[in-house]
Amino acid sequence: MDETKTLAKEAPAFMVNEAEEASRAEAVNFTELYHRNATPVFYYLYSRVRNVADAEDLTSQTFVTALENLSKLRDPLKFTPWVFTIARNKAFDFFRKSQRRPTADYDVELDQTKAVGRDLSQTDQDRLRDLERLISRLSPLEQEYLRLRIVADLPFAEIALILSEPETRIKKKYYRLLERLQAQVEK
Amino acid sequence: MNDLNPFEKDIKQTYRLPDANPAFFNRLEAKLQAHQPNPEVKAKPAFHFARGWAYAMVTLLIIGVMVLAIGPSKVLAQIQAVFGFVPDVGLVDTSSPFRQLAEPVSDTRDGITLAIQSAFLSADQTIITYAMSDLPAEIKRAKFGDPECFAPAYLILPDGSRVEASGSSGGLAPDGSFVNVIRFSGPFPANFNQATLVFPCLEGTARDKGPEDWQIALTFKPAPEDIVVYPATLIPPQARIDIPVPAPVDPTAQPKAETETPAMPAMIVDGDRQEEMVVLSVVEKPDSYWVTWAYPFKIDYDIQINGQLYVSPFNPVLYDANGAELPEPNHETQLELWKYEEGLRNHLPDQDRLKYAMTMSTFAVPKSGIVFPVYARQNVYERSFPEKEAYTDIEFDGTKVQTSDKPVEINQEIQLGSVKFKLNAIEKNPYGGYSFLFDGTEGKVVQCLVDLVGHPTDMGGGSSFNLDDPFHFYQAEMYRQIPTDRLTVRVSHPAVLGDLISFIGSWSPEK
Repeated sequence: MDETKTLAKEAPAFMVNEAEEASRAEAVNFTELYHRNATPVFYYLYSRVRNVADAEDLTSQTFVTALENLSKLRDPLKFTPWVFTIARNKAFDFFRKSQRRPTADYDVELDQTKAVGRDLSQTDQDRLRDLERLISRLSPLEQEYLRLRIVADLPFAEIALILSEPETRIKKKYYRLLERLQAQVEK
Repeated sequence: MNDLNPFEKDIKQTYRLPDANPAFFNRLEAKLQAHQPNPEVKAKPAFHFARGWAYAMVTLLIIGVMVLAIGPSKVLAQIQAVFGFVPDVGLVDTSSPFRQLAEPVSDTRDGITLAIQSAFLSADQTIITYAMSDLPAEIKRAKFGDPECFAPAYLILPDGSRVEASGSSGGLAPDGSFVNVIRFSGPFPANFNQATLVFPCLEGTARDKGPEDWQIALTFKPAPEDIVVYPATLIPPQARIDIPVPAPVDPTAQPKAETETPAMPAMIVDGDRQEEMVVLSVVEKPDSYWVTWAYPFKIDYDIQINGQLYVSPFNPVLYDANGAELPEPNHETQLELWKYEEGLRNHLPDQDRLKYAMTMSTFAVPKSGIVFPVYARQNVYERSFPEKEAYTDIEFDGTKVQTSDKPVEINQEIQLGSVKFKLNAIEKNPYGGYSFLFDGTEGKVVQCLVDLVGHPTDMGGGSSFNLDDPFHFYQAEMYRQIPTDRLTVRVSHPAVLGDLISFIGSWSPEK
């Protein structure tokens, strides 16, 4: 496993040069940031790789990278978008290295124990399966909006920082996407 | 927390999120706490701030003195001269004495042998080579989708502190064993000559199917005085002064004897345009220089699979100043060069790792018998993904494809935005699944994404690139249980071939 995984060029706005490093690092309580972000990062990565072991491994890699580069974080208040940027890059690297398809391998064991809406009526289950299929057909960026907003539970302002897009544009796209999906699933 | 509406909650259900495992988060927290940087550094921010500038000033001063003392042409060669290349080990910091494993050690459990073959400790890293042998087949290779061990080994020092691996790599040895190299960044404390190497599981093998949590005691001793070390120069980004590669000149029109530096022969550039490669490092060996060139890696992250913007089906080539193509190294040297490159990746500054780690080429440049400067050339095709939103669905009879010995003709024209290509046929894939055969001649298409609607692959996909006929390609989708009957393939994200670029880099010992 080579360690070519580093912060991608997508994150420059969060970074500082060495001269600014230490004073920033002082202000950051990493343990607290970890407690706040670990579970959302894990769920986000799970939604990408669909495998608990891989999601745990990537979560671990994400926080180790964050810790090693913490001193480069320009604004500690932007830790969340920054650590999600790292997580996204870890997921990209995972797929690039393994040549796996992001939506491919559902964990068989998980399918049995976590079947979609297993407590729901057959109609509702069918509806959710349709929805799942529709989501799998969305563009990678649209899927990312859903993962960051619904799975990772991030506010639009932080999604905007992660995706380097204006917050208003993301809001518009996200709500249009929801409308479109809802219309399709209720057809 | 976002206030999700009922439809968003439905969407959330489709991700089938598992319950988070508190034990995992506790383990990770402990690992991160063990990884915390030295608090003393954090306690002195003002000093640290000043120190950064002080280092910069001292470095500039030293470079200035070096320029005056030995001339600008030699300065680059002196920068970072503390590095050396140790055969069978790689690139290491030579500023303090080396240590090595006192003697090989091994352990056997459930018939599986884990043997620590060697260790090498330098000022900047610890490199441990180990072999796993007699692995049963079910452990040796995790089935696709099954959990695999990604956890590298770590070291526990006599004071109880833990040293995490910074990376590992490995492969199958001719005898069938797995040989892995694990690297630990940073100095190993000089006052310790013992450590315990802990393997939570055997990296790269199937998880939960064999013995785990191996602990092996290691003892280190000083390396022999006469260990061979070749000087190595890593060119840091700030010192990588751009030395423009001259425009190609036809040697018959401009004899090289009339110029101070021989002009680059015209035939070296055979692409549509020329761009520059940089030199990342140089190792001086007795009869040759190992020179590593690289060109910038570019990827479109919107493309989830194979989104590289350069496709490189060509081998890099090395020419001397007379335009003579230098022979490729023999197999043993080539293996050494690849191993060296792997070590070099770990020493690249972060910005270089992202930009160059995937595109490096190292050549063994003979010291004599050639005319300097030498020119390295890497031809690549540029490609783009002009249509990221458009897709088309094409129905076909999966049963017919799976029962036919020949490709089933489809002949469906595809127009995605401005890009035109054609799905010629579909055939059964020999590994279980479907191969979609495309003709991208009209739109210069060389790749696309295919998905069987409602049947996400559980065995991965594949694609082809035939240099002689790049516009006839296939995309494959593979399955454990092959879906049949009426199927729909969704075609999207066409990759369009662009210019042929010749990346050229020049180098001579005088640079």
